[in-house]
Amino acid sequence: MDMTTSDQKTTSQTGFEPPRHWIGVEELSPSYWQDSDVKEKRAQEFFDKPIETLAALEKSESWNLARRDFLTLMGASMALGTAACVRRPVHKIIPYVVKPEEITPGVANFYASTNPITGLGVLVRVREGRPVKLEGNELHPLSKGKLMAADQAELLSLYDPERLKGPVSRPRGKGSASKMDWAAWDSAVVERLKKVAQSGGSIRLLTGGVQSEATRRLVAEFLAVFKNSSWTEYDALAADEVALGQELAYGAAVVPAYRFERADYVLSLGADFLGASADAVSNAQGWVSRRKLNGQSTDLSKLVVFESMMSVTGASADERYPVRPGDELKVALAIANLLAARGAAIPAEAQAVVASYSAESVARELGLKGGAAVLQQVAEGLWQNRGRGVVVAGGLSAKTGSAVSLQVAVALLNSVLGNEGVTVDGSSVLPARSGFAGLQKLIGEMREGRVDALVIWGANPAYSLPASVGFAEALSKVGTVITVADRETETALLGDFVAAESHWLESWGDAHPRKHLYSLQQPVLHPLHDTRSFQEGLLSWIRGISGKALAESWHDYLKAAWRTLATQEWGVSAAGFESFWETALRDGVVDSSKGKGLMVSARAFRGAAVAKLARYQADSSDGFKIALYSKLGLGDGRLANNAWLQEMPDPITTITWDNYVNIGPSAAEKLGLKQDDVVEVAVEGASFALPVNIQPGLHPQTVAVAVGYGRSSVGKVGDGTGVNVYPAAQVSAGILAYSGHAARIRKTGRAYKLARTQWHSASENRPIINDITLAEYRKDASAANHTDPHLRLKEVPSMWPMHDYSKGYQWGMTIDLNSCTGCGACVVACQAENNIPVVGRENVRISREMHWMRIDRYYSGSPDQPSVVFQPMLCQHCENAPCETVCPVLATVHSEDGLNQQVYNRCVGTRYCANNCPYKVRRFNFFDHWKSYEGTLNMVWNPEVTVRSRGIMEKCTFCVQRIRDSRDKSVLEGRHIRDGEMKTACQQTCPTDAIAFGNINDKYAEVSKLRQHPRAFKVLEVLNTQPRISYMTKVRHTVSAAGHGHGESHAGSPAGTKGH
Amino acid sequence: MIMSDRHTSGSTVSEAAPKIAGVLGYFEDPQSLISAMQRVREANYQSFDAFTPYPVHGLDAAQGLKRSPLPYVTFVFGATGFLLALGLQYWTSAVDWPLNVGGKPFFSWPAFVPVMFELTVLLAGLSTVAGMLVLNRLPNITKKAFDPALTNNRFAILIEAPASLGEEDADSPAEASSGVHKLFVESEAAEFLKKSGATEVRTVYQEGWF
Repeated sequence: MDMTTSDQKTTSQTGFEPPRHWIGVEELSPSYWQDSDVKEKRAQEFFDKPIETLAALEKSESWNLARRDFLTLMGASMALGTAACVRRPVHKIIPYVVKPEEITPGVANFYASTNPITGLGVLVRVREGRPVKLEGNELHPLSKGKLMAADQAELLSLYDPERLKGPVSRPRGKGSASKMDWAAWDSAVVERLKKVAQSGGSIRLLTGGVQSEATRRLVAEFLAVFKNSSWTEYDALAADEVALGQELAYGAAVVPAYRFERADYVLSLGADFLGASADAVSNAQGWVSRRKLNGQSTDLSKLVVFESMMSVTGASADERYPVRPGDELKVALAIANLLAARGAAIPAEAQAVVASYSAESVARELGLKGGAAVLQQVAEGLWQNRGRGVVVAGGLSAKTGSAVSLQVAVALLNSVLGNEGVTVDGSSVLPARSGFAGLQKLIGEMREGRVDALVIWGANPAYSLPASVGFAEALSKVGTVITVADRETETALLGDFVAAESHWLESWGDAHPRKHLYSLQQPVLHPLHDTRSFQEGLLSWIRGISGKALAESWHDYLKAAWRTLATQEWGVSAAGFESFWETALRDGVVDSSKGKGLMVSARAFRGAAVAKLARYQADSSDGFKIALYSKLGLGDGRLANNAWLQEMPDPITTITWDNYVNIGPSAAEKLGLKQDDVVEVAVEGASFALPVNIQPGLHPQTVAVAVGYGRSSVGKVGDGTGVNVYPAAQVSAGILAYSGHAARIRKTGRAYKLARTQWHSASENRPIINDITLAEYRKDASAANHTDPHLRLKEVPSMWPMHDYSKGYQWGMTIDLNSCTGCGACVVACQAENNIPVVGRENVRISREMHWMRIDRYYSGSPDQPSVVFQPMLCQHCENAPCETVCPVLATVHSEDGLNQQVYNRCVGTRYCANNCPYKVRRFNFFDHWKSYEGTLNMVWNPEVTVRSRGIMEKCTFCVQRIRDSRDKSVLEGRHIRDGEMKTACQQTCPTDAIAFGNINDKYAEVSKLRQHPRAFKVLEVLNTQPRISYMTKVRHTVSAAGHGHGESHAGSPAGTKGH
Repeated sequence: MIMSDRHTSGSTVSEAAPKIAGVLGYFEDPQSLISAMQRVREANYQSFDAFTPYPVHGLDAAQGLKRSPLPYVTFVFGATGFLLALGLQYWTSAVDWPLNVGGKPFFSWPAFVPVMFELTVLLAGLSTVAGMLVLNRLPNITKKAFDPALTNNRFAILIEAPASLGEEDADSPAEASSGVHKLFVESEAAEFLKKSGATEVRTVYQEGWF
């Protein structure tokens, strides 16, 4: 009531006042709020009405059957089903005769292993010989117990039913592929390789980046069999521009690691270091350690981002400025110029170049709101925090033709600021090995017909390279092409032989991600199919060609390699090796980097590198520039057949299942584009048609499109999902420049409805989130709660006495919005832990997604330069749960320990509860989704959680299975559950520790302390639902109000918090 | 008609002479029935009754019938139903198996109202029907209707013969002679009814279904 009256008042007196936090740009226009459809939609309980849903379904392309026909067919199939009733054959099951010692049915075993691709240590929960959950290995310094969404989703890839189930031979030009057994396949391959070896022919090995030391040794031994051999490593997302820039600046090609935990001031130029980055987990942990405001301290590091596509890093930034792809270099050098004025020691050779970048002209060219003052302020911040700051750059969207120059400029900044050697760590990382230059050389050789045999492993260049590179054509000139892959990828289809590769959870290995950090990969289950690891293959080929048996098996080879390593690196004696090996296997990691003298001195910057950079030249073109970016879920497209990742809503756009053209609101308005309009984007050498997503916070001259989509040979899930935009990349100065190319946009007149979850839980316009600046926070820690009505209330009137929750365990949670980067790791962790089904694009479109946890994203400020707040939303376990009172069958009630429980067996599917839930966190099973899980996919179910059937409601349980497990353990040991002993799946994996969970009756528990913090508030407290989840307000370290919605100085921005 | 139907049931036909049930006087309309009834009552016959095809207002008063005790039965059972529902719900939801539903008190009486209402109505209703049957000593299989026309279009008053009453109900000869009630004499009663306006008078006999 208050809201309405105040709205009416302001509308009549001062004109339209948009909400301070908005979900989409639509909400900023007064006509949106006057639209009767919108009013109705936002007031109704569900996103859409059944009639609308049916209409949408009937219009959709996959809805071939009209509903009536469907019912007819259902009747017929039931009749047929009954007619076909036969006695099922009897299958006997046999228990263990001798039970394996380590297996207790019903009790999970945890094994440490390593993802060889990212080098992150994982802990695999195994139930009865079957891995059911991946968690980070707490002993591993890079993961520290945390994993990102993509790492978690590897589990589903293990059980992908479309993996190759045996080796395939498909001789080019000789008809169809044939499945073979390994002996026949090997003998065919070895015959070809032997010919190459004996004739002195050339063999090339093309792999993704290989972190495994033992594999490197084995590869070297394999290549030594041939006279003319070499090895190329290439990853589509490899940061080779960083390595090249570092080589120019410091002499060694490395991709440095960053110590964000030491940084008071972070400037990111396009680098999505918190999201789509190989080191995202450790970066996020380091960064967030300076962002916690939970105690007495009111110090906060500052993050400033200049980027072309909005990333989770940009969304977490205190200040974010949209630029065109390629402008990052200008920003870096303009800041260097400003630093020079402050007395920074710019090397003499560099001064001329740096001086040409004046802050005024750069700011004018980039159209920075706030002008040169913005750059001044950033330069001042960096200068004040010299030696305590860090400048990072990189990422696909900044990988333009000038990407190497950008890296040189960033190295210059870090060196003159004294950050090098403090926050920039170039000494503990290993030399960068994978890069485009090597691949280009290889393709040249192939094109000239100088390659007789090519072995490809862990790379898919036929998919990820633009046609202009000519990979496919060059491949056709290679005598024999052998691909080692877990499926017949686009590249494998062009080759002669495909070796079915085991998943890394099925094979041995190791990883060497940092100097003095070694990590072991042990298999947690026997290969599901007739597959083997790449290394097994190498061993058998070496044996076949030269008759030399290097080892019994890859495991033995690995162990032998570690024996050598143990002596050299850790001085383990021969006698002590077995116990060392077992310890290493158990821990999964050996970290001996401490005291090894890393990070003792800064590398010397070579000023000459800057001298070669181009002088300032304004780019006055007014056309669009394309920015490609990789999503933190799908990445380079390797996991495109992973439905968990496909259905994970993008943190920024909340779109699932497709890629799309992101375009800024003002540009869209100029072109007359609406959301979901299909446009054709043409860049040099490629063009593609994709639907539009209007993305606030994009430079008006930027279009951004994600790579990793549009696979053609990955499986049912990934094939034809989205469009492959890798062809938009162009070769430029030794790197593959993904972004910065001129793009033309043409409307096609068609529309394609993107499966966007953004509006599914839009509420009536009540305050449910707020954010404040650090200055406001220092003045009044609870300032953010003074909305209208207040976020946090002292007392809410009630006609009932409160239920007595003062006894026993009472579980509660706090979520720190200041730490949350929106990365979505929790969403996938929850999906894996709680058997949440994937529903598909059609169902997401009609708001039937099943995720128990969603991450709401709110913008504030102007649409061209908004600020973002994330709010993970899950069942609030309200003490006065509105869902419970409306259930006619008592299927949802409270447990003694304060959990809002859903009793699946009792539920009859009235959906009254979802209707009455103010947070819209309940999910209804419209179908038996589990039926779409075929074959091996069924092994992914967590046996501790019920697989739900059609017609019942479900929602977050606070991981009740974990609570009960820890309670059982504590009862057996005659003690209480300790604080922090039990972690929910989302909390366990959160890379920024944003989630705290525990017993709120224990006043020493972390969660109890956080609940009392002045920043804490509960969502919609005014409804007196008494949620058990408290949110901690986001505090931004920003002084200026420019573009950040806080205050009067910014014209056109929504007014500040009401009721101040 | 009725007479001719006698003794049709059963294989063994009773040869004993039928017992007289009383004298039945037919009236043309309810008004004359009511005025005749007043006279019958004033004449102080021990037992008499009226037969009408539909309820006739004023007949109860004319006949001197007392108010039925049925409402008391209804109330007692209704109250029992109310308390039973309350008790059952209180016991199940607050004592035996307390469930915390939405933080509401275990004894959330508004939620109990529908069941309490239903059970009140159920027991009151059933008990009313049952009470009515018991008080009317229904169903009665020992008596047969004297004339089907009485349920259709005719009105009649029956002055019952003491012999037709049960042993305990009938006046003892001593009591009868002492003048508590007017002594029943078949011909006199018939005459009395005729005088009171009966258009037709008939002696009826006791006749049961079995």
